[in-house]
Amino acid sequence: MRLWNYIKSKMERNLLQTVSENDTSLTFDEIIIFAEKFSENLKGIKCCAIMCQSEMATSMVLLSCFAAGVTALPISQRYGKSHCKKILKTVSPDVVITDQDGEFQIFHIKDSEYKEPKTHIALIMCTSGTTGVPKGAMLTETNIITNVEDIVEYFNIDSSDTILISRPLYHCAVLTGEFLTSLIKGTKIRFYSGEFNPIIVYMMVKDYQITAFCSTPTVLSLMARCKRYKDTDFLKHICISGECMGIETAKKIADAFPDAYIYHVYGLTEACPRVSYLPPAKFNKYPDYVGVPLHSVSLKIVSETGQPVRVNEIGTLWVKGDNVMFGYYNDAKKTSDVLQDGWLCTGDLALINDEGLLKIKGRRDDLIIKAGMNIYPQEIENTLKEDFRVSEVLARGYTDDRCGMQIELNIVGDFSSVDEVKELCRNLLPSYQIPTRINLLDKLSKNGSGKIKRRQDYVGV
Amino acid sequence: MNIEGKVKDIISELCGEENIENSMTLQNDLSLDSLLMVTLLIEIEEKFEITLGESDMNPFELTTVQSVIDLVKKYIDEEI
Repeated sequence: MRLWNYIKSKMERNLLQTVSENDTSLTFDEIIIFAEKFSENLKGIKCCAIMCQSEMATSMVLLSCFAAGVTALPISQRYGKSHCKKILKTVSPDVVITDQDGEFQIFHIKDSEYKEPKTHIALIMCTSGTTGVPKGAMLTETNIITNVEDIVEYFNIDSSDTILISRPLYHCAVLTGEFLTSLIKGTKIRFYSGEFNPIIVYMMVKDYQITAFCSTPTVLSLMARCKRYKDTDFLKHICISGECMGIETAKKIADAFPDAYIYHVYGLTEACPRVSYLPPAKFNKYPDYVGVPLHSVSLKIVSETGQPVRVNEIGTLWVKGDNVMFGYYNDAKKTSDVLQDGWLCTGDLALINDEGLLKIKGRRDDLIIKAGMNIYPQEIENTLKEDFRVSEVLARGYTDDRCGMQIELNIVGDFSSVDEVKELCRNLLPSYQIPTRINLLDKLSKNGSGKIKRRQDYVGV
Repeated sequence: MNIEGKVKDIISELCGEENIENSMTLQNDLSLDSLLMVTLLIEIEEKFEITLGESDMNPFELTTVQSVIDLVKKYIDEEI
């Protein structure tokens, strides 16, 4: 219960601060009392799945699990029933807690097979599972405390701020980087559990004088298009994470929120999640960089042969620190694939420039190696997005029986024919990046957090 | 172009459907998901150069193509 004692001792500094959603509001004091009382219901339980529709309800059950020393397994229904079922099958918790009609209900699962490893696991965070099978990253109390302490050090919010949390706590970046960090800092929290809508977010920002907001580049760039954000100059802290961001998108966001401190951060669930952050003062000069490692995190970038690369050279990013997960639940093979000698393989391709700043080039899995050339899909996508006609774009590799690896482009925008897209590619892209297959589409599929699905089948119109 | 034509153009670009009829429903007939519904309102504001009032900013209150046309007509004269 070291984690709960840590959180509680920090919350006790701001007992009158509040956590709210819609018309419900509780003080930190009331939350502590609730968590300790509700934790009594969890005695004898090892793992508790949280499937609440309200994010505030999720946060309260989560803290109760921490208070009871029970492993918490947050699940978001936004990813659909089938994904929820897969998670329950993968982890097999003892109980599921829901908030049907505003009342907490505890469902005991008869044939639970959950087995805790030798170390106490505070949280199991399932990755979205783009390949189909979710992986449960096991995070210890030390992992969480370490990462929150590091985030608190740079994220300059305090008890005079109000944060709007609009994404599910199912995402580690939201749970650690927004919710727990705000509790520790004594920041007022307002949850929004509805579908993403920049206009509703705008109204909430205005009505509740929101000063801090975290989201993905896709969402923030849509918000940037709402001209009404001009009268929200009190929104001082914006944190961007979750996708590779191009310079054009970054510029649009910076222009729309000229008075805000913009933190471009990087992480992954397996690292609890935060790995690095770009200090806001450097955002205008290096908007597509994710900055420097956190205090407790070490980085290394290695080549295909495992050798450290030089400055500005691209390689695979590995991270090490007390924030790195214990392993994947019940999956020794996948754990040993990514955890080696205390180092976590992020699967991301990255470089460090001569100022020591980290830049993510893309997922190693997404890299297209065409005729020996390394092609980063995000580079193609970001270049094409510079054209005003392009609204969504996805580049990826495919294997052609005759020619080997080739580039496929899936694009949505104001084009009357594929030939127009071809001409755009010829004008903007170097020859080795020009796609051989182009699908002009109505829209691209997105997952529950608004990210484009990279592995979806797309057929042109 | 009149309001109706311009609204249909915006919707057509978003959903990829060429023949847009006034009675079509945005979410069922034209498959606009939540992100596209929001984008629709933003495009309406940009292309008609209007700022929608707060009571008109919930995209899910718009059901059909006609309801979008009616919304724009609340803000501007017919011919633009």
